[in-house]
Amino acid sequence: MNLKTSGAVVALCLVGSILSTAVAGTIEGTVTYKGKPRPAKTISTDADPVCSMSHEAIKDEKFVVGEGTDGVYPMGNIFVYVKSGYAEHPYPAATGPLVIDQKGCTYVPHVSGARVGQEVEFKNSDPTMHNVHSLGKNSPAFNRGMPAGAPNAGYAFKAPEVMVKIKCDAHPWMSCYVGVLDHPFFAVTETDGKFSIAGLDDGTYVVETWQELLGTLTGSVTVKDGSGTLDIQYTRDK
Amino acid sequence: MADKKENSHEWDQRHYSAHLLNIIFALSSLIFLASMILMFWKDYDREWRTHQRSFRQVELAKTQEALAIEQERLTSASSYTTLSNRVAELEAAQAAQKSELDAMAVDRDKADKKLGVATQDLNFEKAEASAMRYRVEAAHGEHDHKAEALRAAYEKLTLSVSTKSSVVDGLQAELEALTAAMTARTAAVDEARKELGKVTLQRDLLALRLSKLDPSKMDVATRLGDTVRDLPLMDALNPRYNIRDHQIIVEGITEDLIFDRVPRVDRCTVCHLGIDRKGFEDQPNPFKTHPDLDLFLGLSSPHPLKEFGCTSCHGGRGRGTSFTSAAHMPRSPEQAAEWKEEYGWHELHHWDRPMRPAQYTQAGCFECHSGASQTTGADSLNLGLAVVERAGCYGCHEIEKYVGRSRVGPTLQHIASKVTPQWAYHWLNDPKGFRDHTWMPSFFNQTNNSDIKDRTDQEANAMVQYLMRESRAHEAAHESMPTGDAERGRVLTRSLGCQGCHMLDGETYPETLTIQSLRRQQGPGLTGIGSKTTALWVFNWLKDPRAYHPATRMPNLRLSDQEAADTAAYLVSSRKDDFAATPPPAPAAEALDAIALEFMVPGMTRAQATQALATMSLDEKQQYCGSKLIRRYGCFGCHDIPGFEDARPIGTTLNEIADKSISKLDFGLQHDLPHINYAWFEQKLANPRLFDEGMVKEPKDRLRMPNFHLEPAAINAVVTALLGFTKPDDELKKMVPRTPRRIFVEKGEALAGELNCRGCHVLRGDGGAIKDSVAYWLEHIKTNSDASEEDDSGEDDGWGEEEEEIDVAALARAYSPPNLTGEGAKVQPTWLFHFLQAPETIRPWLTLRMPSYGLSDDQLNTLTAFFSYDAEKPFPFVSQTVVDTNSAAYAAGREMFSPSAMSCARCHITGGQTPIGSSEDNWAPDLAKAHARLRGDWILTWLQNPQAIEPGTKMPMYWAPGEQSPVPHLDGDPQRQREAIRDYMFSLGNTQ
Ligand SMILES: [Cu+2]
Repeated sequence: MNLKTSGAVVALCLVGSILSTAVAGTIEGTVTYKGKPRPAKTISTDADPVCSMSHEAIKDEKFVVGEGTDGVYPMGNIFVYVKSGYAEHPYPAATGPLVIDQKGCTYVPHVSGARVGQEVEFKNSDPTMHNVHSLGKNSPAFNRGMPAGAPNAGYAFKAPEVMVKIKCDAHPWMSCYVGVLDHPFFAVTETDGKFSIAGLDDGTYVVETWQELLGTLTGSVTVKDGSGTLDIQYTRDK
Repeated sequence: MADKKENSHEWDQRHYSAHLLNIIFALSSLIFLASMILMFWKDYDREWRTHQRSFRQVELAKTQEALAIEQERLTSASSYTTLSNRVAELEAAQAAQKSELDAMAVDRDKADKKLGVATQDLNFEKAEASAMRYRVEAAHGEHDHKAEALRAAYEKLTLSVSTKSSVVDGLQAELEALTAAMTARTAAVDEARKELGKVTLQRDLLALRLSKLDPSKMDVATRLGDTVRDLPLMDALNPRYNIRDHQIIVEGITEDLIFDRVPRVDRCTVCHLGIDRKGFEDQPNPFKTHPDLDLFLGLSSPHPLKEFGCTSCHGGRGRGTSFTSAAHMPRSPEQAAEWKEEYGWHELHHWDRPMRPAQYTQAGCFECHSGASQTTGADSLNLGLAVVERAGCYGCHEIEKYVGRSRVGPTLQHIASKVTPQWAYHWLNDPKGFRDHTWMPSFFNQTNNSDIKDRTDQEANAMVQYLMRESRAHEAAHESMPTGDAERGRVLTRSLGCQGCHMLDGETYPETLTIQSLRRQQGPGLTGIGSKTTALWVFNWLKDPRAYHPATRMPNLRLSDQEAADTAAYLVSSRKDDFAATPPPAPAAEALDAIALEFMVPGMTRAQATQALATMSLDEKQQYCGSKLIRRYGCFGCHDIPGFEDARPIGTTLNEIADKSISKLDFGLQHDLPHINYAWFEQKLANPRLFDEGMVKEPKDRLRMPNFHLEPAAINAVVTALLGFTKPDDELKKMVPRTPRRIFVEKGEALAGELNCRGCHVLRGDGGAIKDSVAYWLEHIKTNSDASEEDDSGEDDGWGEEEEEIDVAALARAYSPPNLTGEGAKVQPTWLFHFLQAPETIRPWLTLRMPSYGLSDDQLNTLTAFFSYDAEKPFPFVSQTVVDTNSAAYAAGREMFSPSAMSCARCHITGGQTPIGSSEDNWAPDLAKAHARLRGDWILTWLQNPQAIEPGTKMPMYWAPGEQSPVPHLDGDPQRQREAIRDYMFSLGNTQ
């Protein structure tokens, strides 16, 4: 009898441990800005007639917020990532490349995340020449010229770095940012400010958010029974 | 012999005691035995043996550790696990078939034996057949009647041979088939083992090494042998611990041994056992790895151990096998004491080439590299030579390397037009009082003459008065100047590149002198100028430095009148009025007489001299003393002085100073100082008057070398250089072959050093001292002027300007002088010649200005050849790239160049047209100048991978290796595309 019960306990434990790794948790939350938002700016593209030809004016994406109430606005273009607390073992590689398009003389998306070793594909949809110049310090130099109609240029970051600035020397206003990590726990917010990072075990994590003008904020969140919530608020009041 | 008794009787009759003799004999043989044992023990117990024994332990531990790590690495490597699992699996499978395989082996052995028997049988038959053939032929020749019968027998035998031979062939095939069947069964295992072997190679090598080191890994016989061969006495035969296997017989370098040259033998490695091996960095000496294996000892390094040995660089006694006999030299008296305590060390007096103490090791580089101004890896030596050049040591002391160099200080030919006598008097008395970091050394108020200050004040004044009286008139080109604006001048001094050679007022000198900070001190520090001279003098000087001082190193910056006036206004705004506030002392007849007598008396009697003096006016006495004192102090070593244009330097020669006998160095009363040359040099440089201390000397006999107030790092560097000034060793010199390249590069380097090119430019990977000043300019001056230009029309949104993130490094690169590393591969020699002669603007966005140096044709050729030879490019003629403007390729080039493709003019200036809408810091050189300036082959290499030539450049790479070309022209062939673009570029602005 004894033997039987202990066997059953072992079996239960096994099931439990399998369950706890299989059903991983998610961190969810919203990034907001409190205060008077920076007015949206348009960029003068006189430098390149091809860029001015496009009907829409180019928006500066350094500070993007959605509709807000009571002086609190959800923020877009925020890179959110788990800074510490996750297990250090290697994670399965990303599926598929990260594609960054050069369209209407801006980078689409303006903020994104990539895994170390993941293929990053730069595309030029414009009828003009751009160059993709990575200013990353941890990965090998990358500065590729892409004339109109050039095939996509591929690149892979070699080491984590938050954030890597990428710019076009031909169009000084053109820049974008890529957060490079060796794990998959990151997200980029849309204008609703919401993010969701899945695949995390129960535990406590440090989460950092990055904003192009306002820098980084960190918060701590505990995932229990598969979920945790963390809201981050930026402000410029001192 | 006949009668023993008789003999023994006689024996007893001897007048000495046999008994005593026996005792003496016994004792002496005992002593002899003891001393024999002691001798063997002494030999057995020699230092190096102990070192080799303990090194074996270290090596053993290291190898075990490495093996464990390698094993660990293998265990965690998936390839290893997979392969070894596979081997195990296959081996198991094979084991299961053992009986089958064994049976096959038996079959094969049987077949093999059968084949053996059959082959032998065949061979016998063959032998018989050939014997028979001989008999047939013989019978046939003799017309023997038996010939026919023999022939029949022979044919029968032939038939039998062919039958047997087909039997053998059959058996052979059978054996091969059986063997093949067996190999087929084992092939998988063998293959897998081979694969695994490739992965475990490193581990297996370590294990092999360990098996030779570790007694516990040896079989009993080997282990016994290993122990016995190193026992005392036995070790005379073939010991593990020995000198022979470790010593280095240096190829091609000999040493003097009593009237003969014998090959140099360096036994340093008998104890320094890990010196050329990686992995012993953490060990104490003598096992420690050499600190720079890339540069030294390694087979692929420029100084392989076998060719250079150790003593070629370090000095010392190579044949020595003990700490003392190798002529080790301590770095300090403290270390000497430590060594005496620990190793029983003493100085090896009879050896005239002791090891250089650790801090002066680089002096050894100079033995071979005496022609170079900069030796890779010899920072201290390089700094030492640079200080020697900057301080102008060669002005007073002959140094072969610097023969023919121009004087280091400003000319005093027209001194009266530049400074007042009062200022000059105070300057001569106390240069440091005016400028903290001046390179003008102090002659007065020193430890050996502050007691005679009244006299030295008279001396200084007499010299100044001489200079002023003899000063020749100077016609300045401009008698007036526009009104200058000091603020604009401040901006100019920080924008034009003055800081490549000068420290400006308010700048802080770094705590320790480095070769880089020294580059910024090539010209005087620009402080206190308003108290020294007039704005008009500075204005004239800036407009044309050579008009005042033909040999000056100050180049012409081609300043406009207004620029020069502004700069002058700024420079004279720095004042130090309290420095020369008091008038010099009035000439004192008594003191001047005393000084004059010192000079006159050897040539005449005292009475005659006194008489002569009585007829001289005070001015004449001052003039006489001034002239004589200038000679005594040797001022003309550094300055061009009227009346002393051809005077000989006053100091002792520094050639071979390192070999100078210690007895010729006067230690005075400094008994505590170690009697070693470098200790003397150190003290001499720290206080040149030290060795007068405590001595009673007439003023005229006192030491005269002035005090340069060198800091410890500079002293250390200069002593390194001095210790390098040895008697040239022809064999060592030959180690640096005098190839044309080396000769041209050395000549060019020397001139580049004199012109201080590295103050602004990075050259051969080193230099660019102005870098920090450019960063300062960007932060404090450029941003201010940009801000004032911008009109802030937009209303304030409360977010200010802090949002603009500036890539400082990229900006600093954009506004820095061009990096000249590899310049010879880039530009055409003819262009470079003309550019250096009369610089043209290549980068209009730079505020820094390439000055005009007024170089001679000879100097221009030296520099042009230097760049080409350094880059190993043809010199001086370069064939022109011929461009066919009617070709299809040319049309393709034009298209690729255009905005619709690579849009080169987006960043590059073309024919003076600056890129539209692009900010200055994004601009790139004018491509219309490329045809005259750039080498055609360089452009192709550059286009292929700009980052490889200039890391961090904004020039993008268009053709990634192995990827499709980004443009479709010319069949998408990258090489043809690059050539087409270059050809189109070469047609721009080319009017020919
Ligand atoms: Cu662009």
